[in-house]
Amino acid sequence: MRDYLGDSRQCEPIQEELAELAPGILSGRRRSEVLRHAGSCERCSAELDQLSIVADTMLRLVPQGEPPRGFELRLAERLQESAVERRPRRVRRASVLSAVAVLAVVLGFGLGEVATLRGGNNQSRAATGNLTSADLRRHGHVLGEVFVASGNPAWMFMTVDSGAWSGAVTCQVTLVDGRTVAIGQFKLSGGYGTWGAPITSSSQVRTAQLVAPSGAVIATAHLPV
Amino acid sequence: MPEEAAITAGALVRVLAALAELPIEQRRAVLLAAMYGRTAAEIALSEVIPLGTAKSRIRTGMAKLRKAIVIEEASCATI
Repeated sequence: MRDYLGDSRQCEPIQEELAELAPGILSGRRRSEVLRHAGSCERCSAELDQLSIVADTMLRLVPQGEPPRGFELRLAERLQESAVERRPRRVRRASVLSAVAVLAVVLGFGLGEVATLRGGNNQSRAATGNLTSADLRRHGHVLGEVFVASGNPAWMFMTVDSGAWSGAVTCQVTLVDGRTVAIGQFKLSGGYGTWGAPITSSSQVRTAQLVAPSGAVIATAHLPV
Repeated sequence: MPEEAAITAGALVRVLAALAELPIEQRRAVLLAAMYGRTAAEIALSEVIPLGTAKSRIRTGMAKLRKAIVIEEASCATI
């Protein structure tokens, strides 16, 4: 029986270790101690549940079976590339690229192939069984990226990390039947902003657009058919 | 199961978004811990940082990802 909601003095050292317990990297002795506490503490138990969802979600991004030879090295190199990049906007782009690289693992692509896919193709895009992404472009320049996860509901996520726009913008989609629908608003600050929301269907979406309050289309992403 | 699929899709997108926002050192620590099962001690060794720093990076990074999945779900946009 859970006999208390959490004494901060008892919970504090435990909570520091929940982040290691969730992905299963805590040592055996500490693991049993932390688990025992979480079993009697609602607050720590709830936090452990949420951290476990995070860990489980990240595990879904790992390819089945052993990673390809050199995968970890390439992952480390990719991460290192973004670490040494000094210009903030490039760092943000590299950050998104790293996320896309992780997505590509789901696809079974190597990281080099992802870089090629994004760097050399004007309509750079990728698709998995349940996740699709496409560059958000303005006159050929990448301003951000759009992700669509299928499901019930499906999800759309738009990230902008370049450009100079500030203020309210709209995410607008064009559907397979030609209709255009505004599905959400968010704010850009100096060219940065993110937005995401569940949508009723992902299969109908053909393009996602970033639209200014005037109605002018700032950038467009063409999603894979 | 539809409900399970919805949670997975939402969590996936949110975690990816939050992952992209993490400082590089936290992202490295979290990826190595959660995706490759590296312990804090192993991460400290490979990153050449103190054990406490490795633990702190894992803890802080995971906490940010956790926040990403507990935000109240927005209403579904009908298209």
